[in-house]
Amino acid sequence: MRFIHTADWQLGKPFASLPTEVRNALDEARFDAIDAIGCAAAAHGAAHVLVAGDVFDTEHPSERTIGQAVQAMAAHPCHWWLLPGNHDSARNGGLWDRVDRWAGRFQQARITCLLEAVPHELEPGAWLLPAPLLHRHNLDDPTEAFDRMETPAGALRIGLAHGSIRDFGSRGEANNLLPPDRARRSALDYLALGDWHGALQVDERTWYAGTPEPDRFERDDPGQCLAVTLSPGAPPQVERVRTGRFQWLQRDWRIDSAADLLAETARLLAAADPGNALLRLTLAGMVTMADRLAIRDALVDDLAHRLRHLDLREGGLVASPTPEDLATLQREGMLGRAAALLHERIEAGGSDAPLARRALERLFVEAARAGDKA
Amino acid sequence: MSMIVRRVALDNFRKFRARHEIAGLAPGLNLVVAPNETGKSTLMEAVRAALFLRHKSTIALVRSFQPHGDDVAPEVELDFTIDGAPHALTKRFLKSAKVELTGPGGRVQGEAAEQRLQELFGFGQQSTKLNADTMGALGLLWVPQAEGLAPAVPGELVRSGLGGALQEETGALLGSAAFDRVRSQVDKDCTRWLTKTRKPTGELKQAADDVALAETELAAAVAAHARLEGTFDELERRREELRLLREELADPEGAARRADLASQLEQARAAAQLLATADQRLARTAAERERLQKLAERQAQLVQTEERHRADLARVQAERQGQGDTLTALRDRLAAGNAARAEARTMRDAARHALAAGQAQAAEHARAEALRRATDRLATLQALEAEQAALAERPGQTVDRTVLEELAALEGAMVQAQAALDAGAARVEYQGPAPLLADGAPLPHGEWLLTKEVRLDLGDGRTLWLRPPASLAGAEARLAEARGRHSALLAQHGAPNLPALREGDRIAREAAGELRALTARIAAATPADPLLELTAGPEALKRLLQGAAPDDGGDTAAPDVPALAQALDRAEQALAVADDRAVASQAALDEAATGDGQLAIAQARAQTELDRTCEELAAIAGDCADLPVRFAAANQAEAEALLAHDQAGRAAQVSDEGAIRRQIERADRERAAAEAKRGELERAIATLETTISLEGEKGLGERLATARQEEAAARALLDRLQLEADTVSLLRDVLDSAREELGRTIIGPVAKRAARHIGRILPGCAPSFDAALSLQGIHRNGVEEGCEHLSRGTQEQLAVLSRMAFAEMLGEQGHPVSLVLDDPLVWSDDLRLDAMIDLLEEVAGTMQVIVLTCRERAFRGMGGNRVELVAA
Repeated sequence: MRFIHTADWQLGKPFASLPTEVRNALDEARFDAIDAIGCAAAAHGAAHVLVAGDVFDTEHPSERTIGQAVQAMAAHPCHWWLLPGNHDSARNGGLWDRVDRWAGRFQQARITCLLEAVPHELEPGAWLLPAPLLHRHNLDDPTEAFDRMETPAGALRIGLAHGSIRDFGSRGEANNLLPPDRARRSALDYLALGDWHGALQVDERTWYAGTPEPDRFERDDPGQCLAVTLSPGAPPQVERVRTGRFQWLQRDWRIDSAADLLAETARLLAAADPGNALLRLTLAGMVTMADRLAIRDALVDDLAHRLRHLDLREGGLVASPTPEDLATLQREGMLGRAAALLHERIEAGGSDAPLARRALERLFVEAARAGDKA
Repeated sequence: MSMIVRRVALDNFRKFRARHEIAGLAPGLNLVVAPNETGKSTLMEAVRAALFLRHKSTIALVRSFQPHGDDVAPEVELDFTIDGAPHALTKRFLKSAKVELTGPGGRVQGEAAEQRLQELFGFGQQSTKLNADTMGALGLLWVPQAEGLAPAVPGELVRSGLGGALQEETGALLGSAAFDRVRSQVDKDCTRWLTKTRKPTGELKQAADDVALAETELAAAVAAHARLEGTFDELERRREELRLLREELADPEGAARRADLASQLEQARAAAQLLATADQRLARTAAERERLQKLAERQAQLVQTEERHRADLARVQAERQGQGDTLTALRDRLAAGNAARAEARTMRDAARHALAAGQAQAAEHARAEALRRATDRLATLQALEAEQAALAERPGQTVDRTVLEELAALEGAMVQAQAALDAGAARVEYQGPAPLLADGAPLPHGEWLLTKEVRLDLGDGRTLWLRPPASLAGAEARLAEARGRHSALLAQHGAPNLPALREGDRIAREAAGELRALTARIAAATPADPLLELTAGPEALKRLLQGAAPDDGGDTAAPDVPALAQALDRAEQALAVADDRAVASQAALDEAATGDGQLAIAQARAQTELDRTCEELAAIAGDCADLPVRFAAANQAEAEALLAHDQAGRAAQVSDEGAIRRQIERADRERAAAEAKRGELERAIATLETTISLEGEKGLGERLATARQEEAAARALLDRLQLEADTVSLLRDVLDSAREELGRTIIGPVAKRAARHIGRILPGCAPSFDAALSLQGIHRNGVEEGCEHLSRGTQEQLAVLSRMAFAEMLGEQGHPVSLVLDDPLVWSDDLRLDAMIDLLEEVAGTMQVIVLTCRERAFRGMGGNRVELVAA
C-alpha cells in the first residue's frame, strides 16, 4: 500500500516580526503546502495522508486558519488522518471539535481527527495505530499504547506519533520522548513521526517527515513530505517529495573586505532562488571604513532587494579606520579631530566602545556624503 | 608673502565695452577715486573673475560679464608681483576662452595656467561661484561694496590657512565646510529622533509608543489565553470529578450497606419497644409503693397534730378566765375619775365669771379719773388765752430788713449828690429890680446855684442863657431821684423818718416773740387722751368739757383684778389634772378589752383546727386498714419490675436505633448531595464547553503568538532606533567637542591679533569670535554685544579691522595678501574715519592696500598713491 507521511504544518504561525508582505506570503505558502501534499498523494497514487502532529501552531487558532486548512484538504480526494501533536494536543472539547465542525461543512471532505489511541483500518490488511497527544507535555511514552493494539495477523501496522526520539537529546522537545526502537518493539511496519522539522530517517522503519513548508531559520532544505510504499515483509520504500516554496537560509560569513562579501553574495545568489529565499546573514570580520561603506551599500541597496527577506546581523563586523581613512578625515580639520576623539574611545574599550565604533562609522558615512555633495 | 597688484585692464566686461585700465598701482597704500557708476565694483569683480573662475566656465555669472546685448568675449588682464616676481595674467571668457600666465618660470596657458594660479594664491580649484570658501585669503581680504558691513567670515581655505599658520603652535587642524555639512546632517538626524532635551521624538517616540501598545496587547492576549487555558483546565477537572462521582453513585457496595442498615434498624426498633413496656411497669409499681408510704406518713402526722391542737385550746381557755377580773376593776376606776372631772369644771367656770366682773369695774374707775384731769387743764388754757389777747394790743409793725437798708443807702446817696452840687455848681447872684424873668418865672434875689440851664429874659427881646457844666446835670438828677424814692418808701410804711420806722419795727418783733411762747404753752396744756377719745388742741378740750358736770363718784375704790386672775388659773389647773386621770383610766380599760378579744379569737381558731384534724383522721381511717401488709407487697412488685427493666435496657443498648437511623440519614444525605453535585457538574461542564466553543473561535492562541512576536519586533525596532539615536547623539557631542576644542586653540591667537587693532579704534573693546572664526561681537565693559546690535559705523569698522588682523596673520604666514576695500567706511564719523585712515596707512607699510572710493573729500587727507581708471 501507499500513503503520504507528513507532519508539522504549524498552520496559523504568525511571523509577526517580519514585514507585512513577507508575512502574507509565508502565511499563504503554508496553505499552499496542503495543496502540494494533496497533489503529491494523487501523483503517487496514495489514498491516505498521515499527518504526524502539529497540524496547527497553537491549540487556539483562528476560525479562518481552521476553515482554510479544511477547505484545502477537502479539495483533494485522499483521506486525511490528523494526529494531535504537542502544539495542538487533543484536549477535551477544544480545537479538534472545531476541526470536526468545519469538516462537516464540506461534504466531500475525508478528514479523521485521531483523538484516541485506537487502531483504524486504513484499507483491508493495513491498520493505522495512532498515538495522539492529549496534553502539550506528556511524561509518559504515548506510543506505549501500540503494544496493546491488536491487529489481524499478517496485517500491516503503521504507527503514527509525535515527539522526540530520546537520542536527540536537547535538540528535540524535552517532553513527549519516544523510544528509538519503538517500531521494532511494537512490531510496526512503519512508524510515521512528527516534531522534527527536517525529513529524517531514524531506522529502517522509522521516519520523520519534516515540515512541508519551513517556518524558521533552521536548515536550508525546502519543505517536503514522504511518499511511502509498504509491502508485507519488505522494508518500506520512502521517497522525498518537495512541497515547500520558501527556503530559510542561514549564513555566517567571515569577511575581510568588500570583495569577500561580493564573492559570497554571488555564490549564494547562484545557488538559491533569491525571490523565494529568506536569509539570516551574520557577518563577522574586520574591514576598512571604505569597505564598510561598500558592504553596507551592497547589502542594503542590493541584496536586501533581491531576496524575499534579509535578516541582517552585522554586529560582528568591525569597521576599523586605517591610517589612510583617518588621514582622509584629518584633511577635513575638525572632522579629523572628531574621528580621533571617537577612535580614542574605541581604543579605550569599555561599554562605550561599541557605540563609539558605530558613531565613527557613521562619521565616515556622513563625511563621505558631505564630500560627494561638495 | 607680499602681493602687489600693478595693473588691471578689462575689455568687453559688463559696462566696459571699450578697453579700460587702471595702472600704476604701487606697494603700500593706493587710493582709486572715481564717482559712482564709473565701474569701481566691476573692476574688482573682473579681478576676482580672472583669478577664481575657470576660463572655460559658461555659467550664468560668466555670461553676465558680457555687456548687455553683445555677443563678445569678456577679457581681463592682471599684472601683479608676488614676492617681487612679476606675473602677467590674461583671461578671456566665452568666445575663444583662454588663459595665459607669464611669470618667472615662463609662460603657461590653459589648465596649466589655472593650476599655476591655484598654487600661487592657495585657493581650491576654480569654481563656478565666487564665494569665500573657494577664493581663499583674497576672497576674505577683497571686500566688495555690498559686504562692507559684514563681519569677516573666513572661508574654509582661510581657516585652514590660519590653522596651518598656527599648526606648530597648537598641533591642531581647523574644520571645514564639510564639517558643517556633517554637523548639520547629524543634527538633522538627532532632531529626527531626539528633542533638544534629548527626549525621544518622531520615529523613536513612535517606536516606544508602539512597544507600549504591543505590551498592552500582549498582556491582554496573555490574559485572554490564560483565561481560556484556565477554562480548559477547569473543564478537565470537572469532567474528572464527574467521572468519579458517577462511579461513586453506581457503586453496588453503597446499596448493600443501605439494606443492612435498614435491617439493623428493624431489630433496634423491637428492642426499644420492649424497653418502653418495662419502663411503664416499673413506673407503675414504684408509684404504688410511694403512695402507700405517703399514706402511712400522713396518718402519723395527723395524730400528732390532733394532740397539739387539744393542748393549745386548753391553754387559751385558762388565759381568758384571768382576763375577766381585770376588766371589772378597771371599769370602777373609770367611773370615779369621770365624777372628779365634772366637779373641777364647775369650779373653773365660777372663777372665770368673777374675773370678768372685776375688770369692768376697774375700767369705769379709770375714765372718771381722766375727766377730772381734763377739767384742770381747761382752767390753765383759759388763763393763757387771756395773756395772748393782751399781747395783740401792742403798737408797732415789722418792716422788711431790705427796706431799712435801702433807705439808709438813699440817704447816703442824697448826701453825696448834694455835696457834688455844692462843690461844682456856679453861684449866681442877681441884684437889681425885679422882675427879671428866669424860665418864665421871676428870678429870686440873692445867690443861688446854677444846676440846670436857665433862660433869663432880660427884656426888650433880650435873653440870657445860663448853662451849668454838663457834669452837674447828672448829680442834680440823681439827687432828685433819691429824694423821690426815699419819700415814697417812708410814706409806704407810714413813718416820718428812718429812725421812727426802725423803732416801730423793734417793738413789733418783740411782741411776736412772746406770742410764739404763749402758743407753745397752750399746745402743751392741751394733749390728746385716748381714754376720753380726746384729740390734741384747745378746741377739742373745750368741746369735750362744754356742758359736762364734774364727776363726784371718784371716791369708790378700784377692785383687785390680779387676784381674780390668779384664782382663775388655779381652777384651770385642777380641771386639767382631773381630765388626765379620767383619760388614763379609759386607756387601761380599752387595752384590757382588746387582750380579751384576741384570746377569744385564738380559742376559736384552736377549736377549728382540732375539728378539721379529727375529720381528716376519720376520712383516711378506712384506707389505712392493713397498711404494713400492703406496703410489703408493693415493695416486692417494684423489685420485680426493676429486674425486668434492666434486662430490656441491655437488649436495647446493643442495637442503638438512633445511631442506625443517623447512619441511614447520613447515607441518604450523601447520595442526595452526590446527585446534586452531579447535576451541578453537568451544568458547569456544559457552561465551560460553551465558553470554550465561543472563546476557541476567537483564535486566542494565534493572537497570543502574534502579540508575542509583534512585541518582540516592536522592541527590536525600538532598540535599533535607540541605538541609532544614541549613535548620532554621541557623534553630535563628539563633533561639538572637536569644534570647541579646536576653536579654543585657534580663536585665541586670532582674537588677540584683532584686539590690538580694534582697541585703537574702540578703546576698551575686545572682539569675540565663534568657532568658525566669524566675528561674533565685542566685549565692552564686561558686556557682550552682538555684531547685529552695534551701530552701522561700528559694524563697518569692525569688518575692516578684523580683516586687517586676518591679512596680517596670513601675510606673516607667507600667503599672498593684499587688502582691497571697495567704498569702505561710509558710516564712520570724522573722528573714527581719521583713526581708521591712520591705521590703514600703518597697515599699508606691510602690505598693499587699495581703497576704491567715490568720496574724494573724505579721503583727501590720506596719503599714498592715487590712481585713476582710464580708457586705454
